[in-house]
Amino acid sequence: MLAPHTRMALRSATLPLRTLHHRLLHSSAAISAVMPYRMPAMSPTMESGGIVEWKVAPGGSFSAGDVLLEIETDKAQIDVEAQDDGQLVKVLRNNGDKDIPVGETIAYTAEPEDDLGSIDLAALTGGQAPAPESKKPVSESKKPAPITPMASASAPVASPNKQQTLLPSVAILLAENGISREDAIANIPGTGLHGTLLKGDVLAYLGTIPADAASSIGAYVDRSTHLDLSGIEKTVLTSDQNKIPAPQDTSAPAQEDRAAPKSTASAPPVITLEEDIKLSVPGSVSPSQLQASVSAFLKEAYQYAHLGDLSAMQSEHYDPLFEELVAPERRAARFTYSFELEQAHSGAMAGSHDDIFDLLAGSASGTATSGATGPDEYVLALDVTVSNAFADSREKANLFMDYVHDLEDAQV
Amino acid sequence: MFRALNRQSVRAYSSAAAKAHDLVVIGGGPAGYVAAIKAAQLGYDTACVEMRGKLGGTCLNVGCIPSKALLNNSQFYHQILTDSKARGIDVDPKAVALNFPALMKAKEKVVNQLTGGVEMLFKKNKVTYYKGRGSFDSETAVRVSPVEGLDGSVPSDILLEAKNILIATGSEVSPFPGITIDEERIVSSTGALALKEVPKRLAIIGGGIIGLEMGSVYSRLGSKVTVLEYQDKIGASMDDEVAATTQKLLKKQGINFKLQTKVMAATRNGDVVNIEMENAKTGAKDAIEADVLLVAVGRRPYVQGLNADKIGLEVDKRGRLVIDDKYSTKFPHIKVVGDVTFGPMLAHKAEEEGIAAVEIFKTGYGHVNYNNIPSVMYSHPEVAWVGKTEQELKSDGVQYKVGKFPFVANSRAKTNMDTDGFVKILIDAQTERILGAHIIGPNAGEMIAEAGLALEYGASAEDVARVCHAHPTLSEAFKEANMAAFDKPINF
Repeated sequence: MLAPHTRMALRSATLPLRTLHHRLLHSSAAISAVMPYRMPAMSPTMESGGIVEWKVAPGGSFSAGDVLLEIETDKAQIDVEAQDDGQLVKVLRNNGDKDIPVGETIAYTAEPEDDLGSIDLAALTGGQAPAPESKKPVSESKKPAPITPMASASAPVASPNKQQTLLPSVAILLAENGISREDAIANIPGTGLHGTLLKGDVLAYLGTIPADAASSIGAYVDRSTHLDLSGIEKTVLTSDQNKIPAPQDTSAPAQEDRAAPKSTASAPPVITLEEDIKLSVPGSVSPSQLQASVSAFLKEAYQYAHLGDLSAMQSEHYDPLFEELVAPERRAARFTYSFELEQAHSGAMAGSHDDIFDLLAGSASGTATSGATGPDEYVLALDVTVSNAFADSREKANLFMDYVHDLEDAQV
Repeated sequence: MFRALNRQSVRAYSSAAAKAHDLVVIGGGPAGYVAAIKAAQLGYDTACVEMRGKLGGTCLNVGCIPSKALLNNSQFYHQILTDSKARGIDVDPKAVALNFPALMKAKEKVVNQLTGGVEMLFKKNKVTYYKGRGSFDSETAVRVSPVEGLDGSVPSDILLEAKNILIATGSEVSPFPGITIDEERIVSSTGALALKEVPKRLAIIGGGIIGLEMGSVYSRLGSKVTVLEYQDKIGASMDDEVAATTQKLLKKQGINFKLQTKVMAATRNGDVVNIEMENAKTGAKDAIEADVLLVAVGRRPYVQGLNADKIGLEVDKRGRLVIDDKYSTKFPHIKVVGDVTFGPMLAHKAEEEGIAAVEIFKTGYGHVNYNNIPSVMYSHPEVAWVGKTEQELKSDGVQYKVGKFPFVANSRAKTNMDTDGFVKILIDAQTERILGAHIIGPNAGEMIAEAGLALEYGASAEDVARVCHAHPTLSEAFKEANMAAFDKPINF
């Protein structure tokens, strides 16, 4: 009847001693859970009690509902029932013991199917401070448990995997020295991954090598499992470091109005191409309209020159996709340009410019000065600065020029 | 005409509208793409921002993968030319021709297949993929900006609201002060993977893994290779003894080494590169000419354009983003993994960190064992190592024992007529715990995985020696070296 309460009390009392609990688990591979059985609280105010009599002998089995033991409080003697089936592994506090604080381990229990023969009973002594803690032949590394995410598993851990596969060297050493697998896992601190036993751990345990040899080499290896982030001289990034390299820096066509386009830094002299292209447009087009449409045209010509295939297109091993991958950055600016659009006065035109254009523009040029409906003459002065960073810069600049010359053809 | 083409590249994103994701990964290399997939598998609404246009980062596009394709196939060629007769195959050397363009093409095919595969994995795992440049708009928002000329680039800026952000922007080739890389005659590893022809003379600054691998490739294809290294040994962090053996074997293959050599200048004159150098010890000056110069002096973190300064992220002296032991910046919800932060710049290390960082986001716990990150050089013979080197153990004052086994005593290596090299196992003198494994020999890169497993589980040399290894295999050499470390080998 009291069993449910009892069980709850036991569960909560178990938590603080989790480490101990785990260590005992490693006493046997065959045991899935050896649980400490603690002095139950029979009432909310109960602080301690005495054991009148164990009703189950050590090694004996019990079923849920069986009376495990009789305890006495200051008020009464009470039978304590088992909630689950199980076995009583070992009794720590005997009949007649008094003033046992609630929560103190008074026995160990195991699951019904567990093999009690494989449990190291010697390890289950000593009440609150069980033997394995004090009997360890090799002190654990003083190195704190790894807490960083990059922490490796080299540092000894408190709860090794009892199901671990023993390394061949470890299995052989244990066999040669008559140490059972269970004893080894329970008693030898492992410095391997997740606390697995390494050959060095066993050698240190056996005294073949110095006791701290395994843990110190483990700590040595552990140190280099992390990035060394010590002693970094930090500086806040400057906008200079953010600067996109020169070819890309000048890639924006919006920079067309720049008087002097930037050349690639610290490079040999750049090639500059200059072209004057005459434009003959109907007088109804305003200069600003023309400016806008020429600007847009050049922008597109610029982009298309860069969009085009890279050099060596005629080569038999030319593969556009690959060229894009391995050739210098395809998107990087091969050249920059700037332009000025000047309205040419008819007088100046006749004097300083090519007569052929006049011919091409036809007789309309003769009327340019007189009628608003006649064509106006403009000179598109184009400066192209070719980057020296790329093998195909010149080629692309020429491509650009070819497009621009289409303007002239269009007028014919 | 080009108007139509240009329009085509613009994909239908609902523009300007901010999107929200649980996790935004900046960078689609080994760290970023692996992390993004893992995060999606753990239930996060995940996005990955990549500006290269192809996933897989340096490794897949211009690093590990293409170089291995070249290494494997150049070795094939070299072996047919030099190593057939003794095996009973008569090959007329005049009939063996190198088709360099086709060799490159074979490499390209592999790269294409693999990068495409990663994109498929994104689709399969429902990772949202933004093609564009990622940068910080605030601590909780990543801006994706269009990239000029990039097919499929986001058409306009998109703002991604992110609960968590993972920076995996990787690294770039370290420049050599005063030397301009034109990727034609003076090349980085990227250019070395895409040369148009086999250079008659190839000079390499840097005797690390990248330099020696590319040196091997072109040496086999007929280049006269000279490696210029500032240190007095090659192989970067290799075990000294293994590095010396590697140098000896590569020298036998025709690679010329100039150690303790400080390169002072290199200039391109037409189709020739003139390199000036001096002996780091004596100061004696020297100069050589080469048709191609490969600058392979390492890589540096890549944070350009990330706007990390805007939210006040910190870097160290070498430009690495500063993290704590949970990969966090000063903001716990912004983590950093891979080449752009601390540790060796290796794809497999970056992948491990990507997974760990995502798991820390999810559960607060992730695992990377930095003592157990293998390194492999895919020369012939291969060189692979994990754990401590002998020089490290010496300087740390650890008492150790060495077990070595040469491949010349291994039956499989013998039958393969490929017997250069050895396995070297370093164990703690007292506990016999394995502390490091160093292999130079055929298939070392595969064999090192066994060492990693042993190291992870804290095995002693005896534990490996007592594991049954198939006969006849190269891996028996690994077993015998372990026997040699704690006892005696059987076959030597």
